[in-house]
Amino acid sequence: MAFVILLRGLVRLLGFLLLVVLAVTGLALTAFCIQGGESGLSLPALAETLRLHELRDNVESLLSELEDTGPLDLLPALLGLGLIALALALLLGVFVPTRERLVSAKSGDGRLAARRRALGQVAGALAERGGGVTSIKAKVKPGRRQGGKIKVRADRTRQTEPAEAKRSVQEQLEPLCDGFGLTTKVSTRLADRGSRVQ
Amino acid sequence: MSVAQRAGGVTARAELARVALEAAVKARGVAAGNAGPDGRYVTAYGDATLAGVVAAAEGEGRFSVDLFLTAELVPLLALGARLPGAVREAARSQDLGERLGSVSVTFLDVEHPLGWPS
Repeated sequence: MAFVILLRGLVRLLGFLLLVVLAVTGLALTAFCIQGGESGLSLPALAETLRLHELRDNVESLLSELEDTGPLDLLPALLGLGLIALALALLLGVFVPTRERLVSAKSGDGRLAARRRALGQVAGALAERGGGVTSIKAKVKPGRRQGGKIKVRADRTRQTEPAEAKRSVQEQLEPLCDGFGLTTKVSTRLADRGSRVQ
Repeated sequence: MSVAQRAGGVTARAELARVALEAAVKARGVAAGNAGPDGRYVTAYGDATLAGVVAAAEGEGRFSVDLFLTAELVPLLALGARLPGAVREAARSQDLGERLGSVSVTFLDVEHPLGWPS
């Protein structure tokens, strides 16, 4: 999340700088359109001032060097890859939301909601009370509007049947799931040696 | 959590936020106010900052209060259902009952008495 916030800040900074560059360029172009001919405030004079012909020659020679057959030019290739990575990171900064989706429950005039991590922790603590379960991993995925899904992986003892462990976990989670409108998916596996029953 | 009450210079909105947060944090099962992962759930109260409460105008002189909390390991639904009542009671006792609009509760984190396994 912090990374996305950082990227969003970078996008804002770059956006601002690009707008400044655009404004200055527009101003310069407008000013240099005042006069015609090749001197004074004319576009050819602007091109001359900015040495655009030299820039064109440099770019042309660089592009022809790149097009040449021969060993790969490492520096331009790395620069190209770097720019692609930067562009992808900026796109992430624009499109990935920084606000985490919450799991909401119905409540009077206000709203009752919980962050998925908090719900996952409570779900884990509740599910561990299930008989024959040695450890739990719970992940909550909020729904688009209300409720969501809770995915639980339970480690069970050798003496506990999978169906029995599953039922016991579901029973423990029932009050939480009913209130927050969560649907449960429980999978079980045999606990590693050394795991102790709760 | 307790912020010294200010006689003047604090708006009704900020005062309501303080009263609501204090009432919530005093409730059994609430560990603390939580400003959120990027610290946006706060309200300025004079020179102090109240972490875990956002009060916003709702119209007709009322303010909605959103509480963002770290809970203890207790049934969240029951706690969440209890808190708006506690906040309303506290607001009434401070003569702010008529300024209080809707009360929302969001649990951002849960504290385990022994710490969560990593």
